[in-house]
Amino acid sequence: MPHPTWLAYSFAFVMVAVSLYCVAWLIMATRRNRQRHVDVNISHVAMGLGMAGTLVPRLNLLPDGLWEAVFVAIALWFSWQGVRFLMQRASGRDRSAHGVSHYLIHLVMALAMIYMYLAAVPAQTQTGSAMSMTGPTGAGANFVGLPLVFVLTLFASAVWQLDGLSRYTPSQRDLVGVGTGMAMGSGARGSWDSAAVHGGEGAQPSKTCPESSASLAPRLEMGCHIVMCITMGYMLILML
Amino acid sequence: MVGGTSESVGSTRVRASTGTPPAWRPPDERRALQLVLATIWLLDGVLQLQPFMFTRQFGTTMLAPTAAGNPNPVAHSITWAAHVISNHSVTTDACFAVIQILLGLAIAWRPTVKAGLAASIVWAVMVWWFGEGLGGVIAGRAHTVSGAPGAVLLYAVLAVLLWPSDRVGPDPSFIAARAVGEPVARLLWVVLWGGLSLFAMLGSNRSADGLRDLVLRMSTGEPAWLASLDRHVADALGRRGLAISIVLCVVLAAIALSVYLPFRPARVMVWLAVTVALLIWVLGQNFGQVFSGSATDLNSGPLLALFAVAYWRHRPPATVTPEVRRRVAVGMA
Repeated sequence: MPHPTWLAYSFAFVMVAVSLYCVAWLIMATRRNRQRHVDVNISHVAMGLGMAGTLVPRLNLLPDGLWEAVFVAIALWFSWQGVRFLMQRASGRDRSAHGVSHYLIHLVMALAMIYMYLAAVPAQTQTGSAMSMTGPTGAGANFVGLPLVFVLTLFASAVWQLDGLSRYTPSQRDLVGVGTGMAMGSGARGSWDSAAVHGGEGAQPSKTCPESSASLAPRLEMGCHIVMCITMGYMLILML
Repeated sequence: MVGGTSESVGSTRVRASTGTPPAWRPPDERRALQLVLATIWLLDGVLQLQPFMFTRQFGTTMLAPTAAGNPNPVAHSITWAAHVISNHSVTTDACFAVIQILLGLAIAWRPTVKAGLAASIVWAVMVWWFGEGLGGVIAGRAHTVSGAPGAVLLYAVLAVLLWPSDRVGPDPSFIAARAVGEPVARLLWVVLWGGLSLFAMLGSNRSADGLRDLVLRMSTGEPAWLASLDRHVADALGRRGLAISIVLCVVLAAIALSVYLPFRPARVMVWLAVTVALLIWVLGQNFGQVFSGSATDLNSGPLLALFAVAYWRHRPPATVTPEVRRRVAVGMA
């Protein structure tokens, strides 16, 4: 069934905007010596551009095979980070109550992207006029339960993030610094920092956290994640 | 919240007499259920963006037929709405999608949760009327298995039960009673599950082939594995529709009355209610037919389960009899 072109273009436009914002955010955070969340932002940029290219073929920057490799790499990275986090928790080096869900959601997003490239059937449409992919048909349609799981996970994550958005009210600016030990410790990594920002429960407010370790525009960063989850969910629903 | 009113979006009730906003707290049980409701609204909104919804067929083949069997004024209004929607399918469907996505987001964002829930009640009632033909309740087409009394009506009921305020008095024994009080919440439970029990036995639902035909009809357009499941279920049902409807009616009636049971048996019955809801969703509703490309929601199964979870009994506080209190006092002395 033909899909409204204007809708595909709208989502593609939003995805390109989110990708550009993530790049700009990364540059600004580096310049200002703030938390960078490098892995999260790189994955957002890749997913944003990948989805934009899927929605509007003329925006596709890379061949599908290369995109698949990119998302496999992202999936492996977040899998490794999740395993490492669990190992550190088991050994008692980390007391954070949250973190696995942070890696898990980004892993799910990467897997959903891989699914979109592997399971999709190229649509017989004119280049640049509609989505380049449609849902699987025939025997492939037997896997439609998987995208539904992805969709529910992505939407639950979007809703969860939105619920946590109000913790960063202007009057509680000190909360932005989410000064967990892992965020301020010498071994802090981008992904660990973002676990505090994205995760929720693990983030404890601290007024002692220096300005330099505070996250840059955390609400906008969470907003990007929410928009990305909704767009990805939309694309997966088209493949149901 | 200003002025000593009860703010209870977060984990505990926070009373603030100053102008400073309350500190952010992790979601409590009710908030978690609100977030599930928000997720379902969000999903409904995005489902509305499926290609089929932007076509004239959405109005002519999905909405217009729901007018059949309803009283003339109701049927006329539904036909009129379907006509308008089919003539302006792209605009109206885009609006529907945006509204539902915004409802989900509003419920999920704490500052707008009340506005979101209130708007969702209004929207749900409108959809129940114009989109579901009052769930077929008046027309006599309603069946528990197919989603009676209209899935969207459950959104409105849940919005009321999960309203973020607390009645003055002792803590209620389940989440659903926090906003409306235990008597009203229990009554709603009895009405809903009792109604479902009744719908299982109404009209053609008593026929020997009714259930089997209902399940078989849904296999059209479904993926192979689900269609195969439907056929197996239909074969198992055979011509035993009446017997199964009677069993379903009795089970649902027992669930309806279980809200007045004490703590432990009530919990067991909530489990049973969730199980029945999910069985109906999988076997009777094909996951809301979301794989067909023309589903507008998940149907009633997940909402019934969510509704049941809101009645999960909290462990009653340990009661201390005067005799025990006296012994403790003597012991301490």
